[in-house]
Amino acid sequence: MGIFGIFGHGTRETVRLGRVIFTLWAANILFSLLAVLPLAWLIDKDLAHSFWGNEVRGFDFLWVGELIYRFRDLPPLLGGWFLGVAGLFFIASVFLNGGVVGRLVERARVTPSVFFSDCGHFFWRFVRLFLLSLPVYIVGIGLVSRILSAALKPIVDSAPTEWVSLIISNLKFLAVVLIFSMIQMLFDYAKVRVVVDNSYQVLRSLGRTVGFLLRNFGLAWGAYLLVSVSFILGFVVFLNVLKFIPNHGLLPAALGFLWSQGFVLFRLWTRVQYFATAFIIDRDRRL
Amino acid sequence: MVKTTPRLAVTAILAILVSGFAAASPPQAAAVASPGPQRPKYELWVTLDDLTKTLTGREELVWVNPTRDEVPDMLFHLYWNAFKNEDSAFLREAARESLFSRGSLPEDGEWGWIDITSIRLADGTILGPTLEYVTPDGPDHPGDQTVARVVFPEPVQPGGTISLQIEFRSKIPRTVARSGYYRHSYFVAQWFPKPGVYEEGKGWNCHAYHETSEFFADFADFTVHITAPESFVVGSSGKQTGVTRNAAARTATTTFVQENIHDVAWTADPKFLRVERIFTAAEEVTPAEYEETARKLGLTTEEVRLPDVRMILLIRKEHKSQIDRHFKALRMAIKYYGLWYGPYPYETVTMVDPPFRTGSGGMEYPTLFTAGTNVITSPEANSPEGVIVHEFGHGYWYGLVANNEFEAAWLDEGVNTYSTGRVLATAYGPGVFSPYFKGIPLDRLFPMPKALDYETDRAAALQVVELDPVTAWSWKFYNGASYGMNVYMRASTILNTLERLLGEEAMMRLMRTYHMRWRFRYPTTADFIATVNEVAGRDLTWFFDELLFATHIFDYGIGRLESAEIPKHKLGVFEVAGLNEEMTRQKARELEAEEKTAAGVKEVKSYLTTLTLRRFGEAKVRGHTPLAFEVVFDDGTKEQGTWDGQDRWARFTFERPAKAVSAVVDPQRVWVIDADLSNNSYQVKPVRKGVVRLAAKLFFLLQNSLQFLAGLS
Repeated sequence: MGIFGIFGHGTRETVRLGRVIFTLWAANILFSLLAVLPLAWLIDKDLAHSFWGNEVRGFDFLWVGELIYRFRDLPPLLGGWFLGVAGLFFIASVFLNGGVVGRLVERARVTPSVFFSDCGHFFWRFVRLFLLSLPVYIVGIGLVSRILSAALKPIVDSAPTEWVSLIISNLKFLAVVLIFSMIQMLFDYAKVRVVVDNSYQVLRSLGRTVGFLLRNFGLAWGAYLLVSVSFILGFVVFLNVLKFIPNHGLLPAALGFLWSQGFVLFRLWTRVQYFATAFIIDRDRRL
Repeated sequence: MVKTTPRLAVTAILAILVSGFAAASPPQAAAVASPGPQRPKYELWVTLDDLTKTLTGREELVWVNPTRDEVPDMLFHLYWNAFKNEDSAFLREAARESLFSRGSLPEDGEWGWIDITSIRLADGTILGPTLEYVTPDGPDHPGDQTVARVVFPEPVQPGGTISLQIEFRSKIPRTVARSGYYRHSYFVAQWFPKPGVYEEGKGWNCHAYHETSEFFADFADFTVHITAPESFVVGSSGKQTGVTRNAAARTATTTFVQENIHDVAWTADPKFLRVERIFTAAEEVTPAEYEETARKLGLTTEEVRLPDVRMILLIRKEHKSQIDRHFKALRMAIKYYGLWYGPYPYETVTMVDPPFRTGSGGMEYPTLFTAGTNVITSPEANSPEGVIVHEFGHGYWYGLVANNEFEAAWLDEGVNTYSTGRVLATAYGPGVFSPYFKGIPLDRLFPMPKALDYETDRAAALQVVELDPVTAWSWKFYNGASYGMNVYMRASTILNTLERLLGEEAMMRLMRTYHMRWRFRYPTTADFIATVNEVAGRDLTWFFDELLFATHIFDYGIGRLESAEIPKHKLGVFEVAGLNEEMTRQKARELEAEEKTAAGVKEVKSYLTTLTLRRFGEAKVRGHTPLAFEVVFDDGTKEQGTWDGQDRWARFTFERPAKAVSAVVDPQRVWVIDADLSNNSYQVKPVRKGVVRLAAKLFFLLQNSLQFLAGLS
């Protein structure tokens, strides 16, 4: 099966997991609400009784400037709150990943009890995988950045025009993004392997995954990139449609909100699609 | 014959004397002219050695003593010694700000310096033995060598002249600030020994080169001969009058001449494209625009007419596609600065796209300025337009009206920031705020907010009000950010507030009067305030005391707004026909019920509305400039009033058959410097459309941010 076939197969799997995607969406909404509430309260307290309560639109320098001045002592408090919520969301994501991959692998009907049972069953293994991923990210990205910077420094230092440094800077950035995505792909496949084998030997599963990917790198990487490209295309469509939604009125505001939530769902679908394509390749290539 | 009393006669004499020193009406746009005594004259020869990155120079200076003092010595600026070693005031102050940690200092062999190798009078008298470095700004930086002193054998008499011949050698810094080189590209500024300004009774005004200071020098006449490799394109302040080639040495000497400027900067780069165009006033300004401007300024159309100007652009080849954009911005700048403040008095203006990696962008010199752009630009952001208009504008504020940038930086930076905002708003409208990521302007990828300059200026100004007064000397601000945001943005916001207070036309007349009166002169803050008071026709010194000299937050707002029904029957014991009679609650209810059900009588309720205004900040309005307020009631009527704003609060009550729905203080938004505009208005019933919209956008932003995090899980 080629990468387009795998992509199509993966899409069918994600449709099957529609309920799972909505569960992920609910978690995202819950934590985002938690994060935004203090800020929304501050904005409401500041503006609701002012004419600006009706007039303010997005990033308004007149208002933002004085907000920064008036609440200049709040960032540590707000920052702490956001970090706390983000931390909890992160743990929730690790937890929910177990259910996503579990339901992908186990082709039975998705029910809440089975889904959350998978979440709990795989949680600590996924936590260990995350902890293993940290040094890989740091070393991988750090090493690549340093090697590239050292190798390209003579060219950058003697660049005759702005174009050279611009292109090199962007190539370095692209390289970092690619390394990041390869590492992410590795750990997605590792999660699938842990679930498929129902293995508690996380390090061994990771090792086997490395071997598997080395043997099937082209296909795995191609499928991964295809999902990434579909995300970028979706993002471009989202932005371009958003431009045409007016900024005034109740109906346009509702439309805009729904369209934005559609994009969030699309992001969640992409996340599940990554897992789905990984599962399909793992299954097909191991058979 | 008019009968005069002695008092009238004295007044008349004083008026004549004063008018001799202050032109009551703007003089005609003229060829370059300077009131006052003869100007110093410079003739400079400089040779650029592309191999060793050095300059060898010779300076012939004829200096005129414009004062009644006998002047025994001369203090020179030797600006490039700021880049000589870590003992300089510049680098020590930069290190304190952590701007130049050791890793950011020039590399070995890339420091800059200037040495006077010989200094003598025109008659051959050698002055070298008297040459010494001095530190006029106190003992903080004893090793600084950016100011030197020589002593004359005889003092220069009042009105007398002295002719000096100076030879110097300098090493171009790799790039620290404003001057530098990269490979074979050069930008050369503050490069020759330049005397300070002699002030009568005070001596030489000649400060060290500080990290946050700029420059101050006499208006003079310059002739500059620049010798560089023949393949180099050379640009300079002034008008190019000739090129002499030396085939054997493969060099070319380009001569530039300019009268009545106080500095010369130049650039040389073999890769420049040189493009010349003419600002043709007849094509750029319509008769209707002349008439409108003349009407607003109270002048004739002849007085506002603009001359043609030769525009020279030196631009890097990789920015070739932006040539038209550069010229359009420059034309707008020449047009509006000319119409509003006075015609550009020089024949040429040179706009330089700074040579790559010379650190020379966004800087002004008389008749030459550097802009700066990127290979990929945003079509909607005002960049490079903003920097072009701003740096050209410095030709007016600093170039022509030559304030002391060490001691009153706001008089050029703040005034010019205000002017730049006006030009951009008129010529381009709001610009997109578009930061760059990896050389790509983000507004090419995402929708970004738009803003007028005064909005972003105010946002910055609010952050530094309590740190320093705007009028602090340049190197005496809390830090570089306070300097920048105070002298540029806060000063501009103060002027925007002044414009709203006086009205657009009065402000235009004020700025034009100030500019034309102080062209080719050295105004101080006091001179600016005096002009404001004169043109405004009232004493606005308090305005500057509160906002410019002080560090007070200006914040007036609504404290409370509430309406309570006035009961028809008040409770308590009242005298009725000589007897005490109690109005009980029961009785009051019964009476009200009777009145309500009376046939044909429509119940009319009466309300007492209480409005409390507050002064939250320390700055106050004064000088009979009350704050306006307005209350709107639910029957559509309004109540308007004023408050003198002196106390911390004031209470106003209104009795009428309607409840208040909203109130606003300063409804015209005159006081744009107010630190909290949101509390200037109050609605009894909260309206949350904007709040919900904003909260929804933040919510969506957080959803996506959290989803990025989920990707790592």
